[in-house]
Amino acid sequence: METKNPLSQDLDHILEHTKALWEDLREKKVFITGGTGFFGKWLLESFAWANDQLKLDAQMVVLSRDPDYFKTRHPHLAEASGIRFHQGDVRNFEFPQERFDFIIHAATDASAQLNIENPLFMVDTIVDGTRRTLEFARHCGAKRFLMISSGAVYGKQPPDLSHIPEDYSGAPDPIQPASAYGEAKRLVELLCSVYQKEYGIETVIARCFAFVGPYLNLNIHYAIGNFIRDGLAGGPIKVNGDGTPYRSYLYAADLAVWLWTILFRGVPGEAYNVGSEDAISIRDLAHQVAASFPNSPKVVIAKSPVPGRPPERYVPCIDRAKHELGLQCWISIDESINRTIRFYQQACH
Amino acid sequence: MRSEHRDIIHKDCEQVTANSVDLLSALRGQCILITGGTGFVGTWLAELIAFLNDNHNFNTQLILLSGRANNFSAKAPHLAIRNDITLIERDIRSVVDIPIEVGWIIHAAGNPDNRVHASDPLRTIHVIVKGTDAVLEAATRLPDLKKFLNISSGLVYGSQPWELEAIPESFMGSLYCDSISSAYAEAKRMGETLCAVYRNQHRLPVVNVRPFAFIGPYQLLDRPWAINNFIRDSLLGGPIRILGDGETVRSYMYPSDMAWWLLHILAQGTVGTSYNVGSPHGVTLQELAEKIAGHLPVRPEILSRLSSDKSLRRSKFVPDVNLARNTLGLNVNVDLDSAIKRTIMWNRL
Repeated sequence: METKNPLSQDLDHILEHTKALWEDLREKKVFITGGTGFFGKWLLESFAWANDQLKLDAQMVVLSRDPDYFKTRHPHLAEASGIRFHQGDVRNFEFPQERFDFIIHAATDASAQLNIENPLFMVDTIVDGTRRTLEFARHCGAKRFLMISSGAVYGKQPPDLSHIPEDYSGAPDPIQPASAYGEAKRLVELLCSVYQKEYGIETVIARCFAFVGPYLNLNIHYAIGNFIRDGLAGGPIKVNGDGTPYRSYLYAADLAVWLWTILFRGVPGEAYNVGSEDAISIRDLAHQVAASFPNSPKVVIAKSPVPGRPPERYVPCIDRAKHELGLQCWISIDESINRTIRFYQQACH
Repeated sequence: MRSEHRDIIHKDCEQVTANSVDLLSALRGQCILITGGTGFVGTWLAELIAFLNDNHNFNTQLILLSGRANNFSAKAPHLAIRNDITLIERDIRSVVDIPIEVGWIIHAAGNPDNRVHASDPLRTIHVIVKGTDAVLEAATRLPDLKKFLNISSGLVYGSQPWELEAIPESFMGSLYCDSISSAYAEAKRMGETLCAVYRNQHRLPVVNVRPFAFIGPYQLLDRPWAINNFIRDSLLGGPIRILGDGETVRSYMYPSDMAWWLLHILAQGTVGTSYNVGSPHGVTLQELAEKIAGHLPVRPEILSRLSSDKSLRRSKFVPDVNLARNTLGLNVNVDLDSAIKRTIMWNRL
C-alpha cells in the first residue's frame, strides 16, 4: 500500500517555488556529499519529489559512509526513483566513473560537540573533504558546485550590527580553538574560489545560519531543537544560558527552495547568506515553542542576564538572496515550529 | 659571504643583546628546532643564537629543518659548518618525528612571496595547512616541549582600515574568504587555529606571532615589496619608482630586532597569546623613497605615478606593538634610517 509522504505539504511548497529551475536538471546528474544529514535529507526529498512529479529523468548519487544503514532508516528515500548511493568517506572517496553536471557539497559535521571533542577530525573533514570533492568536480566535468558554508565564517557579530551582510569583512579570532569550524569554512570557501579561477568550475556558496524543521536533530546543540524535544516530552522547556542571544530561523522547506535556487541561479563565485532576518531572542523562542503545545509547558531559564552586556546576535542580512534571486522566508516561525512538532508527533506513532 | 658581511651582523647582534641576554637564559643549554630554518627568519635566528653561543656561552643547539637545506652552505657557509647547528632536509608536510632532545620549536616555514601565492594558491594553502598540522602532530610526541612559537603573519588581519593608525592583536579582521587574493592570509589563519586546537586538545604550549615587514641583510631585493625594490633601484643608480600611491603607509623593522623579539617571545611569551612583531613607526612611500635616496652618494631620481583616486589606491600596514612593549618590554633598537643604511651597506659589499 502506498503511504502518503508526511512531508507532502512541504514538498509541494518547495516545488511551487522552484518549478522554473528544474528544467536545468532534466536528464542530468547531481552528486551530493553529506546527503544523509539534515540538509541532505531535504535535498533528497525535494529532488525525488520534483523528479517524480515533473518526470525529469534526473539522477542523484549520494555519497555515504554507510549506505545500508541509511537505506534501513529511510527506505522511501533510498528507493526513490533516480537516487543511488556511492559508498565512501568524503575525505578520500573513490571517484565514481561517470559524469555529473552538478555537485552539492553538504558534508559537514556542523556539531558544536564535535568542535569541542574532536576538532582536528572536524577540520580534516571540512578541508580535505572539500578538496576531494572539488577535485572530483574537476575530474567529472561538473559545471556547477554548490558549497554549503556557514555564517560562522563571519566570526562574532558586532552588537551594533543588526544583520550581517555578505560583504561584512570581519572574521573569527583565529587563536581561539572554538574558531576551528568558522576558520575551516573560510578556508574551503577560498578553495572554491581557487577552483573557479583555475579550473572554470562555477562555484556558488551558501552561508547557512539557523534552521528548523522535520529531520532536525533535536538532541544536538541547536536551542530550537532542544526546546521542541523538551516540549514533546511534556516540558519543562529548559534554556541553558540567560536567554538573551538573538537568533533567526528559516524553515527547512524554505531552505530547500533557497539551496536549489542558489545552485541553479546563483551568480558564479558569489556567496549568499541563507537564513531568516527575523531576529528572536532565545528566551522569546522558548516561550513561543511552549505556546505551540496544548499544555503550554513551563520555561526555565538557567541564568540571569549580565546587566549592561549587549546581547549576542547571529542574524543574517538576506537582501542579496531576496533581490538577486527573488527568495523569501515564506513560512513563519510559528508555522515552522508547528510543522516540526507535528512531524515528530507523527513519527512517534 | 665576506667577512665584512659577518662584521655587520656581529655588530647588529651585539646591539640588540646589549645588557639583556639574561632575558633569554631559559634557552641556555637547550635544543631549538626551526622549521623553514634556512629562510630569512630562520637564518637570522641562527645568526643570533650563534652569537649567543660564541659570546655568552649559551650552549644552545639548533636544528634547522628545511626543504632546501642544501642551499644553506652557499648562503651562509659560516653557519652551515658550525657544530651547534644541524641541518635536516625535509618537506615540512612529511615531518613525522622530531629529535627527542628538542625542547623548543619555532615554526617558520612558509613562503611569504605574494607572487608565489598568486601563481600557485593551492600549493601555498597546502604547504601551510598540512605543514603546520604535521609539525604540531609531531610536537605532541616530544617528551619535554617547553614552547612552540608559531610564526604567522600580519596579513591575517586583511587590509588595514585607513582610519586605523595601527593594527592591534584584537583587530577583528578585514578580509574576504571567498577572494582568491586572500589565499595566503586564510591559510595562515587556519594555521593559527590549528595551533589553538592543539593547544586546547594536546596542551601544546603554543605562542603565536604575527610578523609585519622587515628590511635588512638576507632580505632578497627582488622580492615584490616596495622597500626592497626602492633599494634595488637605488643601488642600480635609480630612478626609484613609486607605484600606486605615495601616501601609502608601511613600517619596517630591522631583522636583528626581529630575531631578538622572536627569541624573547619564545623564552618569555605567554602561551595562548598572539603578538604583533614589527615596527610601529609608519612611513609613507614618498618619505621612504626620499630617505633611501638620501643614503646614496649620488641621489637617485624619484618617480611617482600618482593614481587619480587616492582613496582607492592608498593603503596602510602598521602594527600596534603595545602588547609586546608593555608585557615583555620589547622595543625597536634599530631605527629606519639605520636599517636603510645597513641594508645598503650589506648589499654594496
